[in-house]
Amino acid sequence: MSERRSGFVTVSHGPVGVLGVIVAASALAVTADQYGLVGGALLVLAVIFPPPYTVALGHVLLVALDPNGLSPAALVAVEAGLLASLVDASASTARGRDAVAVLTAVGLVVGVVWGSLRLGATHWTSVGLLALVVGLGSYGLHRYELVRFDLVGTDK
Amino acid sequence: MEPSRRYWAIVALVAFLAVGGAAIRRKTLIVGAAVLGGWLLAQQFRFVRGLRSTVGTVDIEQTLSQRTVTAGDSVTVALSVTKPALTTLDLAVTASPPLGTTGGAEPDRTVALGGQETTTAFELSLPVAGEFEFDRPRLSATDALGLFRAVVPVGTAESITVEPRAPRDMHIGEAGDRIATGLGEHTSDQRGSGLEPATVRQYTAGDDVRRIDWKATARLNHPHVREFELETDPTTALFVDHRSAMATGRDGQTKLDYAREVALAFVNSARSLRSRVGLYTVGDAGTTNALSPHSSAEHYRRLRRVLGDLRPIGTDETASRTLRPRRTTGETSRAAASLADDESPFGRTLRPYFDARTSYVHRIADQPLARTVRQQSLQLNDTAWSIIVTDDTNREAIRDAVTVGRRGNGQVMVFLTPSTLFEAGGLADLKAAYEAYASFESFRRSLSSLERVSAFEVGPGRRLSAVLSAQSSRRERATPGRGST
Repeated sequence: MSERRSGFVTVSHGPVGVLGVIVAASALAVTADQYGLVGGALLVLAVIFPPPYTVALGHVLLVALDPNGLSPAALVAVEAGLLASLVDASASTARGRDAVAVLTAVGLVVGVVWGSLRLGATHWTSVGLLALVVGLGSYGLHRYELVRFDLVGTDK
Repeated sequence: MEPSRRYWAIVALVAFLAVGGAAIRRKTLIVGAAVLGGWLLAQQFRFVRGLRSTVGTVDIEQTLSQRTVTAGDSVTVALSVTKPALTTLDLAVTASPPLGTTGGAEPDRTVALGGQETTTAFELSLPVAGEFEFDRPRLSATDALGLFRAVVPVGTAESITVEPRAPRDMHIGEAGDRIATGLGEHTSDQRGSGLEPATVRQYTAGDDVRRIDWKATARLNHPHVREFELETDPTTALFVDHRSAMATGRDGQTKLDYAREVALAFVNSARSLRSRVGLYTVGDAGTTNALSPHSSAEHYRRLRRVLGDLRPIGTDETASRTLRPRRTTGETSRAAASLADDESPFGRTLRPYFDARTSYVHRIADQPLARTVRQQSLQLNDTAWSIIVTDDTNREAIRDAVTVGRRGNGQVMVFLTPSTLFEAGGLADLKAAYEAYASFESFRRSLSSLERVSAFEVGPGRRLSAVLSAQSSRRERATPGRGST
């Protein structure tokens, strides 16, 4: 387990996160033929950057590869590995239901975006939909907090 | 909820992936953005859930060492917090003292929750008199990833009463003798059915046989009946002078400080007897407060607050400043009234500025005390008690006020602060001081000789004793051998 403090976020790679990154890197290395070194690059990035950045850079690496160079099974393995590192990032004190909350929220948002893309929406429409879902969800939780803790009308 | 820089950094990352994916038409990047967006939502949900659980289980106790202090005194505030066993949040609790207090820097009144139970104590000084409220302590919570922070009020609010600094050697009496009865108690001078025995008189035809006092009859050998003092619920009107002349005296021991104590004693007495009391305060240019007689708990509190806030007020400087034409008296009153019930931060911030402003209810250029008593007496019933608390600088006005107050069956009590006992260096020449006091005493006696009028002196006991004992010594020196055999 390693812990780092960057200027942006402090998170730790737990065992599950380390395993997730290894799975993702391995899937890239094994299935990407001549571009297999990308898997090694992901491992290096995972050591340097915290999990949210690792996930973002992992997706950038996936795009860097020719989409045809990865089988659907490998793509799922890479996504699952990155997701595991992300779940683990918030799981230093997490219990099972925290992991369930992360998986549910990610599943919901990804489901909406992926569903719109599958139904033929343009990329920009999907991005707008993503912004809408995340924005509304975040604002709803914010309003719930204000009402629940009687903060409406205060400056806090 | 306050998102941190870390949160916004990840939001920027999501935006970068999403916009980049749309720009180069790659679904993978958009899905990556969705993964991170969903993760952020999950973190926010976890934070709110953790905060709800923490607020429900955290145990916070805020205690004040005293509930009532004197202006300028200190109070110790203890904050004890028991951390919930199952929280993933970083917690700190900060006490929220009222505005106007000094001391108690934020680090001193903040408890960072490390262990199970943490306590802090800090000292505050309260220089201003009034009713103050310590808001509920603020719980500051940050999630383990440092993405969100929230400040939530928890626990209970506490209130404290700050009494104005009162004179310590208060003397109320006549010609140097202290009065024995409590302020606010007065005989009705009317006979009837009551509990207080008043007198025994001979039986006359028509008297109820049940009223015969058999013991007195046996003792005096004639039938006698006992009369009782009629119980009444008189209305009391307090007229308190706070003209600029009442500022005379040392800090905390001015004429007004003594006058205020007398008035507060009457309000306290009225509160304990549940009797109706009104308050009219008089400045150099007229009536500054006119609170009609009432007997509710809120009314007594308001009277105490008004008396506590009373400051000497003149005609030119203070009054003209408060009546600057930018805002009329009525506008000020309306603004103060609307702010009184406004619990928003805006209202709470502005209220003290309006409360602190003294404005005239009625402007009276000449003899404001007498005119105020006249104006208000017309609205009181004939049996009302008028309590006039003032000094002896304008004796003619006092006499007029007393005359007006005792119209009908009205009773008047006058409490006068002799100027000679308050003037700086007034006791340097004890002979002159005594002569001034003798003049005052003569005036007081002249008031007391009026029907239904009692007049008393109010002032520092030690200074009065000094004046009187100096005169006694002089007399003894002037008549050597007197009293010796």
